[in-house]
Amino acid sequence: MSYIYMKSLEKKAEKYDKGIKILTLGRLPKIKQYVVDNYLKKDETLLDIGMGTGTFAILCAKKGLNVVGIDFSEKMLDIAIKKIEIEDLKDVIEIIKMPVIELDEKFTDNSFDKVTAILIFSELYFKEQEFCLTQIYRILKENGEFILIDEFKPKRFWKKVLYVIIRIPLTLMTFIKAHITTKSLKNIEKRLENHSFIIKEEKLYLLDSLKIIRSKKIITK
Amino acid sequence: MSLKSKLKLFGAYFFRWFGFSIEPDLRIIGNPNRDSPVLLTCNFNLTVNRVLKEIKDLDCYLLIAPSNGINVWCGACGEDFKTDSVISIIKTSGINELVSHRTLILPQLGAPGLEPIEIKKKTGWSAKFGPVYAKDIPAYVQNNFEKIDISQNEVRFPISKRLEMANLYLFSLFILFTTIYWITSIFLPFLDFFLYLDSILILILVINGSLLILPSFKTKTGKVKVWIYEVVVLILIISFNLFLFYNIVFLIWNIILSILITLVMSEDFHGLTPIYKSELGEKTWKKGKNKMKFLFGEYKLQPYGTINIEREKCIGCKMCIEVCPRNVYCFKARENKADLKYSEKCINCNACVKQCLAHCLTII
Ligand code: SF4
Ligand code: SF4
Repeated sequence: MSYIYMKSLEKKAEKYDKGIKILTLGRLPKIKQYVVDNYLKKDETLLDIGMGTGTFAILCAKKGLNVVGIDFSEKMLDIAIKKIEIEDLKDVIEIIKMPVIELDEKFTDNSFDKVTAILIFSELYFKEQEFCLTQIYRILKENGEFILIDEFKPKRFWKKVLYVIIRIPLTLMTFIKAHITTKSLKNIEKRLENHSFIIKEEKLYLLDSLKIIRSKKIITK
Repeated sequence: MSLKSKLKLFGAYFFRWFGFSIEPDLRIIGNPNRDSPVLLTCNFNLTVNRVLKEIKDLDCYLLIAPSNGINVWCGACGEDFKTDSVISIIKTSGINELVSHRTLILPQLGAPGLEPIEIKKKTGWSAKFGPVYAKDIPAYVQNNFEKIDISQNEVRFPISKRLEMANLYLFSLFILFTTIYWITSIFLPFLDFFLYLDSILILILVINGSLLILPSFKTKTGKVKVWIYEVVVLILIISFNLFLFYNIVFLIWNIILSILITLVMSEDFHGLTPIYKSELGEKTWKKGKNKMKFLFGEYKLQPYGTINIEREKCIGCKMCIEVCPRNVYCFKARENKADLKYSEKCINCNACVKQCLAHCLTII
């Protein structure tokens, strides 16, 4: 069962090093800002799944939200903690080091107004994504919103072709650097609906390969 | 199996260092019932494929845990195949509803990275380390989840595996050489096809040969082994030129090429194998670094050194015997304690250190 041949495997580089920035061609900061400006309100509670180095959490906190950020990477959280200290936002951002798979143990039902997941879903496998959707639904208050930002395969043919052409060298680069491929999310709209979310808004970026999906928790009788 | 997964399997065979994943999931093997065994492996497609082949006649469940497409051993040592991978697949696969027992069989080589105590605490499952090789699983299951004998604990490196390993190296270099040849021959027409063929032959001779003879030399370091072999290769090259076919360009090129490959191989020859400890790793560790750079990659290191046991602390739990892939330990029933028997065989995999319930093992 063991194949020591892969002993020479390079160790997983952390998310940001691994070229997420290249993959999104630098558009991410603007997209994050858009979300903060348009979807979030002061004094709301927000859970940021996969907070990474905390850029988004800081934006939210500056707007006046109470943020809980989770991530499992010690390295990333170290950076996040430093950044938050510099911005002096320690009181409004709570950081928890945990894997998404422990979402079921940590938070009580109906406790957040908003949940965000930025470029984290495409790193999970199918069943883990389903698990997260169930948990996010549970954690959100009624009419709370789940905002998903992630990579998708474009639907239009010419965009798909362009996407593939651009994606190949980028994927290759990240793959060689980090031995990890981000898989695009398939049918996520349908799956959100299956988990009793209704989609309020979708916005596409970068040849439709990056999407913001804003969805709302509804209570089904 | 779809064409895509077949191609992926092919890719994984030749380009193993990249890691090829398949979707983590629960596989149902045969017609299992509520008491059937639950096995677990990583999500490297080649591993899963081989495990499936070996257990096809059993009635059981196989959990494929996420490990970033990396094999059990490397994954466990490099934090890709870890306790959270196991917890994750237990929680998401729905296995809790399918069986009434809570016993999970883990691959033994996962021991450097998996913590049964943590798994128990978070999921209620009692995890046990099964055999090293998937081929031993049916016998292990039949024997009531006990290993038949200690040979099921041991990692081996037989000739077939050594050649497989050699061919892997060869394959990457073959592609590199072929590309270089086709490109340069456009500009340098004097590079004829024979020179290219000859280079490939030298590659085969050095790489396959040195792995073939690996166990025949009993020298202490891998470096010496490769260089002794290189001398043999040089004698072969020179006598070939003296007695059969003389060409000064070929002679010089062959000598340079074989020395170059030997240089690379000698850097960490033992580190290529699962039965010796990595020399480069040990050297780097002793310099106080916990990361090692080699060729294109950077690798996380675990402690290197000599294995030590504080026998007065030992509680006789036998975990060390259970997980050691080199059968370094023996059990002394009279004292109810484990002891080191062949500490020179230790490859510093750190499995025992991690699993020892009394924390009485150290590598220094
Ligand atoms: S004794 Fe050495 S080879 Fe055996 S488990 Fe411990 S570290 Fe690994
Ligand atoms: S694992 Fe530790 S406590 Fe258990 S038998 Fe081995 S040395 Fe003793």
